[in-house]
Amino acid sequence: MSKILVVDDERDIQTLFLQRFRKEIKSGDMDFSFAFSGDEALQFLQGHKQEAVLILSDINMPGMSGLELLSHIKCDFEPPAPVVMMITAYGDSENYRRAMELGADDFLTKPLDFNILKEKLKGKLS
Amino acid sequence: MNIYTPLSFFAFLLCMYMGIYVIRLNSKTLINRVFLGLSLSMAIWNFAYIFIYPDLDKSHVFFWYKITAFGWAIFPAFILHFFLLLAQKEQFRKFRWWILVYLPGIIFTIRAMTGGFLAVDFEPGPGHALYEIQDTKTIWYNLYVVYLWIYVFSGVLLFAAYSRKTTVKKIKSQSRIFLVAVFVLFVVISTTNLVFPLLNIKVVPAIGNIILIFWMLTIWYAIVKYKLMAFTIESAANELIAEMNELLFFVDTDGRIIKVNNFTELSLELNPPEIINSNFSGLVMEHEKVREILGNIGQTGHWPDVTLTMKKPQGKDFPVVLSFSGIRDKLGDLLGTLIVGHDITLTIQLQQEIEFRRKAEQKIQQQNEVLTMQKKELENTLEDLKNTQTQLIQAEKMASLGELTAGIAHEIQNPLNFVTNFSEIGIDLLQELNEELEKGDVAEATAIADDLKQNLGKIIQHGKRADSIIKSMLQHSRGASGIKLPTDINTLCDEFFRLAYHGFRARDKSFNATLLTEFDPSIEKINVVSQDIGRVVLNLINNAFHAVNDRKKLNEPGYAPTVWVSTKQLSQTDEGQKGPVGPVGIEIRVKDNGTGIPQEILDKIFQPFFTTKPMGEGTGLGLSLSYEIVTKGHGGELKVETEAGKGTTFIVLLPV
Repeated sequence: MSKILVVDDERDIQTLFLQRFRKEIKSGDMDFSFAFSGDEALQFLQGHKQEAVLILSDINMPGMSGLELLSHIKCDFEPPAPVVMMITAYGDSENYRRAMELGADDFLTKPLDFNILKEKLKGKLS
Repeated sequence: MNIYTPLSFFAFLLCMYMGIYVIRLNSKTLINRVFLGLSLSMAIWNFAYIFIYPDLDKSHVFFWYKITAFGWAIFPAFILHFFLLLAQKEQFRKFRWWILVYLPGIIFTIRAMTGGFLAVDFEPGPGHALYEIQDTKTIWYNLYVVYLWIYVFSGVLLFAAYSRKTTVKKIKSQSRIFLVAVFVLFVVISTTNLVFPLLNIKVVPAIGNIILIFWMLTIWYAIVKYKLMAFTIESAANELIAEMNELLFFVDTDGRIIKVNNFTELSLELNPPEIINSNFSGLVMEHEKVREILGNIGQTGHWPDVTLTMKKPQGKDFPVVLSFSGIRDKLGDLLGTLIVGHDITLTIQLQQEIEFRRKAEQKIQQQNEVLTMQKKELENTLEDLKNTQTQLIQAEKMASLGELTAGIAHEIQNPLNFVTNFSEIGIDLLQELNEELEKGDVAEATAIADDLKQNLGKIIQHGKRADSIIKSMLQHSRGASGIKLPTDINTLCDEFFRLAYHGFRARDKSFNATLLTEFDPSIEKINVVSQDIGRVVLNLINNAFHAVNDRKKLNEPGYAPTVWVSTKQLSQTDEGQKGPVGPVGIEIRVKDNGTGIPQEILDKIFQPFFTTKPMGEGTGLGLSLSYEIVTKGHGGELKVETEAGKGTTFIVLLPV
């Protein structure tokens, strides 16, 4: 059971993921949790230490941005740090570079191609 | 002792006095001279009789009697002449006529001197006086009587005829006195001097000479009362021109000033004693010219409008215009010159003033032309400025629109993503549905169908969301339509808040802030031009972002940049709400905890082109446009509360 945390201010992301990963959820391969801001995500992580193995985060969020969250996760948490993959509409090189600098494990652009995502997830989780 | 002698003496004095008096009034007029002659002849007559009345020595008497002829023989001629002159008979100017008038008298005088005439003997009578015995039968006597009566009565009748014709009251009164006097006296004289001796009545001697005194006194009365014979040039002048407000000089034939009027005295600041008898030419600068005029006035008669410079003995010279006219007496002799004129200082001043004003008007004209040109230039400049202003405002709108572009792109991207994603899932789900149906797992199939339905709902929702964003952006770019439509302010603020955020982030990727909203759910739609109010909200939020971003750069520990957007329905019960909001309206608050606005620039922030951003960033028109939209466009208020270093709140009040 892989616990995945999805962080995005758009609420419908939750519906999307739940639908897209129906089978995996049903089969118990993956378990998704949702946070709608960076702060919420950190709170969740504090509460559920070591549970989440993978974090999918949007960059462009009000309040704490995804990159900030990334640096928090990578710096503040004891190793092993969870895998963090950035998902964002801004696919420019500057964001990419920053994300990589801060230790992002991957960088995906919106609109999400869920097939590719599934592939990557499988790759990372196994 | 007889009384006639002293009477005669008195008469003699009187005649002398009157003759001298009249000739002194005016020695130049003929009538005065004639009167002098009359007076002298009367004087001689009386003087001689002084010695006749008392004297018993006949040789003396006869001697003096001869002398008396100068009186009674000639006086009729004088009287006739006098009356002719009084009656203004022009014919008698000519010398010839004098001879006719005086000739008989002269003849009678010669006769009296050489032979006996009239009184041929004398004898004493009552009153200790000598009485005459006259040769009444002689031709000479008769001729004399005839001569006497013809002359006197001719004169009288002529004068009577003249006075009847005249309308001048003075002359009428005058002549009435004369005629009565002459008639009465002449009757008396004839009685004493002719009738008594003829009839040998000895009551009084020949006292005709004395009686004539009364006639002289009549004349004197006329002189005094009617200014007879004093109708000289001077008296006429006095009556006519005493108060004329023109310069007036009467100058005699030698160029000496005889008289001036009051006005002249005042103008020259001189007293009469200083002017009278001085030379007129001495009063002007142009001596030669004046002397020439005065010298020739006898021939020319008139010399008008001469411009001269008059000298004031104690003062400035002043320019004058004078007219010279020769004055003649009734017989045409030149008496003097009348000089009339006025000071033309004022005229010259006026002329100068007119010239000055004309020049000034010219100048004003020129200045007007210059001003008109300048006005045209200014109008052109104004036109240019207006155009520039319009362009700048358009640029600002474009800039604000541009700011939105990134935000818009993002905002549309998300819903579209969901449309795509949910559609894709839909296809998968349908696949699974079919599989489950084939398997026969209806329950599972139903669950999947429910999911599908939910997804489709989401697709519709996001599609609509994208649609509305695009619609509002189109409205925004079209510019103000000016039409106020019922608008949900909450939706408007939310939309622009998010747009602004994404737009700001697109430009500054490091930007981040907490966005908090507090929308009053009870607000009703109000009529606003939504793209304009949207622009205002956008501008305020962008400013808020700038403020918190600037404060972030100060790296204050624990600083969390935050922007709040809130709305509130205002109702009548709200206290502290004044102004055009009236009883009902909506309040929008945009609050930030950024750098705040310093007091010294607080009153400038709404001015056009005022900005605190670095050069090239922003047009500086945002707040001034917002202010106009809120106040002029919607009758609302735009207020600001700030604390430097802590934050700012902009408050928009929109009336219903």
